[in-house]
Amino acid sequence: MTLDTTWQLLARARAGDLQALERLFARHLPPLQRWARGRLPKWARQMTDTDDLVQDALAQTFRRLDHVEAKGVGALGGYLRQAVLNRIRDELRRSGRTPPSVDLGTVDLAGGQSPLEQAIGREGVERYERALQQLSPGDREAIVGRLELGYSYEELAEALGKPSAEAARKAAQRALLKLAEELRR
Amino acid sequence: MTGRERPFAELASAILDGTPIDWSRPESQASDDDRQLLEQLRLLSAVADTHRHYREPTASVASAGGDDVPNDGPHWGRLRVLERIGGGTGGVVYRAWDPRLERDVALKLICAPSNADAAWTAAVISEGRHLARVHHPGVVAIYDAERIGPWVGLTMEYLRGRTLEARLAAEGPLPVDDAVTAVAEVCRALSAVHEGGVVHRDVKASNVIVTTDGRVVLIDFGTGHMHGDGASPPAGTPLYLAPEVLRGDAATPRSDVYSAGVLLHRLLTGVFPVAGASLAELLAAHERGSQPDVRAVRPELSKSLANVVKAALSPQPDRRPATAGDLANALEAAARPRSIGGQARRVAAAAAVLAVAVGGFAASRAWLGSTGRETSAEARTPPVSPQALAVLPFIDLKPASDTSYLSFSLADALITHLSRLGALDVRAAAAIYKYRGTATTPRQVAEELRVGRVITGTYVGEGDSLRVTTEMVDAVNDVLLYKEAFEVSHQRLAAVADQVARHVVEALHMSVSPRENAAWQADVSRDPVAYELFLRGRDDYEATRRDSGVAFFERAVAIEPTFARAWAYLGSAHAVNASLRFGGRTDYDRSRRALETALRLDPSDIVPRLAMANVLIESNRVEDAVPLLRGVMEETPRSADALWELAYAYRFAGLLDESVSAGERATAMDPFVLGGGNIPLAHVYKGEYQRFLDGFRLDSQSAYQQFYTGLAIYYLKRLPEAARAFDHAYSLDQSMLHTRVGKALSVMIGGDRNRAAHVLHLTELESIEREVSDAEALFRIAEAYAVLGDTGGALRVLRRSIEGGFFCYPYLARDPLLESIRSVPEFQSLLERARERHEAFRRRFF
Repeated sequence: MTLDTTWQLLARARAGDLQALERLFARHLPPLQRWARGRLPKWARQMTDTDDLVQDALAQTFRRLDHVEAKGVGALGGYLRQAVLNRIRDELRRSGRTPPSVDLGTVDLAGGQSPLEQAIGREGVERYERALQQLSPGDREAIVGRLELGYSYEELAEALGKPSAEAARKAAQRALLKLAEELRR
Repeated sequence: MTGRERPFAELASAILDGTPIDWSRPESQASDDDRQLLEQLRLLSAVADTHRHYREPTASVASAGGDDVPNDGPHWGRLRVLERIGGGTGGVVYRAWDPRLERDVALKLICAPSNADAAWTAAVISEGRHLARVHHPGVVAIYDAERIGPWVGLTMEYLRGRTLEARLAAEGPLPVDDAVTAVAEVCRALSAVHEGGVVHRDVKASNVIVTTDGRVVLIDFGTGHMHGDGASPPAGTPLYLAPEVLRGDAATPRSDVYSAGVLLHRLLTGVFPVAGASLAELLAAHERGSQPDVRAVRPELSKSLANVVKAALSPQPDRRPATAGDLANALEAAARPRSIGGQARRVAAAAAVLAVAVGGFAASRAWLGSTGRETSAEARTPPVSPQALAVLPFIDLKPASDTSYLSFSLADALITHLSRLGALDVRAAAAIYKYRGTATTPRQVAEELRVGRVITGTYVGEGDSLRVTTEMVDAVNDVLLYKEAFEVSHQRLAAVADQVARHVVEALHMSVSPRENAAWQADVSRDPVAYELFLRGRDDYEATRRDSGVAFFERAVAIEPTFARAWAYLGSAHAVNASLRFGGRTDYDRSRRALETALRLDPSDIVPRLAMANVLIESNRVEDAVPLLRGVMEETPRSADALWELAYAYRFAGLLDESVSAGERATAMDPFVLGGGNIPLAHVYKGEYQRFLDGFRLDSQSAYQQFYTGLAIYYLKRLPEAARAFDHAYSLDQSMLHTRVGKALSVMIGGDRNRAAHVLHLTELESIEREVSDAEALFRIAEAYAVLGDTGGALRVLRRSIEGGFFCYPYLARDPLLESIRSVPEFQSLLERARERHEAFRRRFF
């Protein structure tokens, strides 16, 4: 089974190929929806339309595809996650559920702890985010893809532009060790 | 890798893969430096675990070993699993509750075989997604396909009713009409499934549910596979399997046709046509060439019906009806003559009901997708026009052949050709599609379509040529006006319509103007391949297989870029999709582009002009639509379709009397305008609710019509009755904006305002997402918000609606549903804007 790369799909979607667009959704929507659940505090997750917001954000992003450029490995994944966070932030602001001054870009949603904060504490989350930013984009994508989004190594290989699942596994392993080193600094 | 690095690499792998880690061991052996690193790895392990937990909320399912099912874990993803309702092929089916969409769903869990690889999962999920794209009332709706742990879950529509197997067990063999109707509907459903690229592979009595409201629905696609997937072992119930599949060949649409034949045999007789106690015996029986005769068990059946059963059960796939749709047609035709009381009445009713009225062009076309089953209100019978002419679909004398698409499309081509003569009053193709494959007499058709003259034809493919016979009768006086037979090569299909048209003109003592003659010439000189693709597209389009129709039209214009009619129908198909798919802007844009090309190539053609008018009305340019439509009316005063479309435009602009008048003149001119014909919706806007309901020829299978019936009833304050109509509409089609608004109203009538607001909010969000531009559809959302007392929501959407082109001022000014927002200043200013545009429109056009 040959997988079209996400960039090939994007190019076809831009040319009006609906099937390509559907496949983009099929590929990115479920992991992002699950990811958003883990990143939001409970009250925000209970907003019944969180999944819809993610879908909405993705649809808008895909529509603006002309403005998204391939800036190397992982650019799209990061872009999509940012778009989802922005959309959620807008929605929360609109519904008046969070003070507008809170910076949601760092996933620090006021008014409740996210599951991640409950697990490793707010300080832990901050350290983790900071260390992640120190990695190269490729390493960062490997961590987010595997650790957060739960990509299979085949999917990860596709996202990272690696020739095989095995190569992706090795890359993720290396990235994780680098991240641990960053955290220790 | 050094000795120090290796344990860390192993730990990293374990963290990434979610393998349990015994931290005590590395920690006990670590140096201080290592211990710091280990601490960070433990943090990352916690990060990984947290995310994994949220990715796999059904840990209890995922970790269940073997074939256990999640009876302890009551959730599957977001679904709450409520009760086990059955075991299907390779899986277990539950009733579950979807809290997001707030409805019961059926959840089928299929456990991956122990040797399953990624390809297996991908195949099952891909099949689920293909099926999710099949929208047919006879096919269980698939909402989602997802893998969690070793399970793949298919989320489906939850149906209430009983299977045909249960009915057989309780009552024995079915009455002939019931059996034929059920299997014909199963075939229609199969046809949709096959078009979706999937073979069902397990058609049987226990996989067909007759719901409590009478829908016949095909379920259990657990063993379905994509076309061309020959590698899979035979699945399905052996007694229903086609002999070639038993022998190991790949399942195909024709093997499903065989299974449908077995189902029919069983429903009629209670027994299987070919039986055996084991697979070997069964194969041996097939090898002996057992050819069952259904009349041996049930001698009172007609020979024609017995022949259809026999053909479906033919051991040679190529001797069976080519498609499930062909089998359905053959069944309906065979059953008709002998049961005047039941079936014939049903067909006649169906003919009388392809009702359309409420929307314009696109909505009308959309409704053609559902053939009516009953009339709920007696339609007023308009008088017969002796001069008017109907062309019946041609009869394929060799029905199993590849030429079945010609049945409708040749008639359609003839209608197009004849319609180019301004002096002739020809019933539109949309009005005659329903007769495809039915055995109707010209007299019946003349009676139903209110015409004096009827053209019928037959054809049979012989080698590279087609033998055609046609005749025209004066059905009022029972006189044969002409009859002829001729032969054409497949390369010259376009000549058929031309030749017949010239005979018609001669028989009616008419003349053809040079301009009309030139148009005819252009029709005949098409590229033969492009023309054939066009004919196939027309057949698909009218059968509501629009996506496949679009593909044919696209190929036709790729070969012959100047093929105006192909561009025209390409644009029309997109316009219909725009209305069906929540009025998406993309479809409107595609439609407009194709229609502009069509009009550039042939400015005189009516088809693209009507479709374009519809697109204009629904994209805030009703003022441009009117001159276009009036131009059509000037050239072709008999165009009931154009008049009907004008009624639609006037309605948007709030000229309600003019709208009613144009609509009524259109139905008087052609009772089957745009395939149906009905009473104008403007009556509702004028407050004449009962008059609207009394005149409505309701199609019980049209979601759109059910919704508008509900609305009229709602206005009459008969709330429980309105809720039933809204619910029915929603059950027929949950993807339409109107039916979702209806659902919200019905939930509100039921007392749950919060949920109603939620449903409405989602509908609004989707309308934004898809950039819905049909301003009248948006108005329905605004109205419902107002009913719910959500002033902000009502004003927000009302603004979009009015600014988007629904400036129906008199209705806005009196609509009782807007009572709650009437005193708000913003409403007054919106109303004022509507009034200004409404009055400017009146000044400009009246």
